Amino acid sequence: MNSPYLINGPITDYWIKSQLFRFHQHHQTGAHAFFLGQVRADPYKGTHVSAIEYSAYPEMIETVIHEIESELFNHFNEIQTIEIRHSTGLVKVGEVSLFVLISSAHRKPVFTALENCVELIKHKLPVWKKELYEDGSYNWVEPSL
Amino acid sequence: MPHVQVRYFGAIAEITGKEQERIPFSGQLNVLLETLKTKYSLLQTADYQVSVNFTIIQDNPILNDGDEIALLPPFAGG
Repeated sequence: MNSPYLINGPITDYWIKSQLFRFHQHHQTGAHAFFLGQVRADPYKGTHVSAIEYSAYPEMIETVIHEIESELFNHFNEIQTIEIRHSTGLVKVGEVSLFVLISSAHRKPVFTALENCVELIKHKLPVWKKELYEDGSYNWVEPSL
Repeated sequence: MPHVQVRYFGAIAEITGKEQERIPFSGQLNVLLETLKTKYSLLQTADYQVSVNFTIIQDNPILNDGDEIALLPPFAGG
């Protein structure tokens, strides 16, 4: 099953740019804040991360993202837009795997709402990652909270 | 005979060697989970939450024919 919130492979610069372009049509919006989660080349037992393979539970993603959105809309009533996308499949070091964008009429709520949104994603989104290392080994990653 | 669909994710799917299976089952969730732990002994020490029909649950409901149960290891998105 596909989910509108999942992107197969990395979230590309082209896709990110297309989102930002789309928001120029929102004439009541005065502030956008966005977060990009990128794959790091972390060291691990004498080798380094070369990529992350993400897996997800697509049928549950939709429910959880709707919960996150309503929590944020209820808490920050000035927020106009929330856009969340997460990668599945292979994402190499330096590529983007998480996109979060928050829009509002004014700047202040977007910063707090963005941080809250990323934390909720980390805690609640049914996504798992397998780190792949340069030496060919791999490891399932425990959550970094 | 009623059946349930059981799905496995992340490190749990590696323990079971499959991503899902259809199991003939009628009864409470905890009984199903004990059956799975017997079938896949590494589940006994694994860390996971359980969802029924896409909602994480803490209690022990009676499962219905066609329910989807998922074993969810700790989330690690981002």
